[in-house]
Amino acid sequence: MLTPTHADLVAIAPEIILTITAGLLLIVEAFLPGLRRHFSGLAMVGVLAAIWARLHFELPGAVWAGMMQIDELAAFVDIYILVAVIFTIAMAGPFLRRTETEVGEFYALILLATVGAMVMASSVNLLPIFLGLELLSIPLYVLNAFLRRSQVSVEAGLKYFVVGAVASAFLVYGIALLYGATASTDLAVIGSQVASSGQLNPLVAIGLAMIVGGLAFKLALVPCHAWAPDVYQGGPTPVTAFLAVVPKGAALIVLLRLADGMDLLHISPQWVAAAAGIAVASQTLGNIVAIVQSDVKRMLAYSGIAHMGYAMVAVIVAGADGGAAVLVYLVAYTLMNMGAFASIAMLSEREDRPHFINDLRGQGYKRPIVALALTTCLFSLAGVPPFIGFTAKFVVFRAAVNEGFVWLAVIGVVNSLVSAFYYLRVVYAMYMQPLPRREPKFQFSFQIATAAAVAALGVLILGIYPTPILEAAQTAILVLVR
Amino acid sequence: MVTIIFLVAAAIAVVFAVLTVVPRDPTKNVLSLVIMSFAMAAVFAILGMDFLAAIQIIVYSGAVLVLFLFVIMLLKIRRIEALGSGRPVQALLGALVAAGIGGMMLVVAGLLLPLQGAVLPGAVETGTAFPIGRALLSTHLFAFEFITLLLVAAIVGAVYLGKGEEE
Repeated sequence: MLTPTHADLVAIAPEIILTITAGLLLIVEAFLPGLRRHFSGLAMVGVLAAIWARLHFELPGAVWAGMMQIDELAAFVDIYILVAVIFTIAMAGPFLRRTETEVGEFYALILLATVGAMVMASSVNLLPIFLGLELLSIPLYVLNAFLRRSQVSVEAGLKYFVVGAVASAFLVYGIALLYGATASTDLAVIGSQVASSGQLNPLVAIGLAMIVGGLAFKLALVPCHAWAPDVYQGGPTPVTAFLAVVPKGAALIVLLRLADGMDLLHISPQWVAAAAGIAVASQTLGNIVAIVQSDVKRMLAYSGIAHMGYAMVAVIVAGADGGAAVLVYLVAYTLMNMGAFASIAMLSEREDRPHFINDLRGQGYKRPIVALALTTCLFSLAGVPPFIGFTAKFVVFRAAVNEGFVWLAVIGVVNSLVSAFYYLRVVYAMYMQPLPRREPKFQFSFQIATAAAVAALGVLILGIYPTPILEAAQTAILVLVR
Repeated sequence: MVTIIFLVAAAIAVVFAVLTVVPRDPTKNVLSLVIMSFAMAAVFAILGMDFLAAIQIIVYSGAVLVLFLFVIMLLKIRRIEALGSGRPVQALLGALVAAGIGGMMLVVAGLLLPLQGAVLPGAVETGTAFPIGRALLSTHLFAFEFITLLLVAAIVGAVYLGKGEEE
């Protein structure tokens, strides 16, 4: 019988705080619905307390009978996820008031999904990883359909649900096969067995392929990307921002743990070929199809597909360099996307209508701060220096070149050049084109504007002075590769 | 003898798995699924997983699928569209993917053949209820407790989506 020790409980203090906050929100929603205006504040306090707990308590390492590994890597990912949630909640308050859907369930589900992502990223056993993924996914199915009166939102929820269910089935089948091959669900045991055998036996290979397939759905990598544009377009914008960042981060960490544990780079040329193919296909398809999009959110969906293609390059390289590059890329990707989605949450008239790039014409002078924030984030997404998007791509491509993947780096750079076209088209619409005759009515929200501005400042400051992030990523990844 | 029981159970499982998706009357689909889960329970029992076999019958055949039947009755679904009707390309792609996965499963079965006769961990003389119960409250305590959150999230989400508009 295992009685949870002090270390076990302290290690998951942030998760416990978030769960309690979620429960509190549901209870207050049920008995004191008059307090709804304060829900986003309450949720925010919970998230800040969780960040405090993660920074304050010492990191014990392996806890819960070795199921979870709470170390520097877990702390890095937890804080990255929690910061993304802060942006989401900051956007959500005004957004939900505008769409008349501000209820406790929204924040409770966001917080529960956050707990799922944190557990998924800090687990070193396939069982809690799967459960974490489910706790991350189930609230997101509902959150995408949260605007129940909007047909596109319900459609987004349903599509994400169907695709997510298929992805879960793939993942669980893969886990079963890996268990059949290695008699363990512990990543360390599986990793050392596979790495010491020096090759992928067919059973492991099929299991791994199914797990990667399941995670590729969450990462929206080609060929499992088809859901992304519709779900991005239809879901409520704060949920889209969360969806674009948090599940992808957690899934990338799991992939990285698998790739590092099995030492796939050195033992399996098939893995390298398949993953490189996925990376190149995602970058190319994402960037080329993004060019023809007229809806900003759809465009960002394709851009997200391309960006996960870049991040896959770092996963292939793995090791200390590749791992650190994944973490840096995640931080950059989060800030850029949060800034972009916050800007779009404000520059939108009605949620059940597409967010046309044409509606942004002339907004550069009408709404200077939000437009500037959006411009900063788009430049950064395109990988233009001095923004953090450039730093992140630089770190990824340098890791690839050092490991001998010059061609992957070259394809990545060419793709970044292509991507500049569609990102800058939005900037062109905002600054070089006159306001349309029928001016869209955008409601100003101080809170969302602040969120967008803070994200954009982060993109700029960490772009000029990336040392803290680079060092934190290098320290964090050491626990994985030592 | 065991092999014959296994082959019969496996054949029933496969036939009724197909019948779960093919007929256009949802009641038939669910009842086929019930029979399939009975056949799976037999397979579990052959593998020495007596507890799982019992759970399979009590929880899946007994509770979950009866719930499905209730939903079908309450929603008054008489007939559903045939698989892939009106979408020939998707139907073809779906069939190809299904065939691909089926083929892969055969390959996997071939790979697993050398492991034949291996007893699953936990399948000991005392039955499997004891080791499973022990595992749930020791090594898997975290997962065991964590699942409650999953259920809460699912219930909250379902209630939100299902409840009517507020006045």
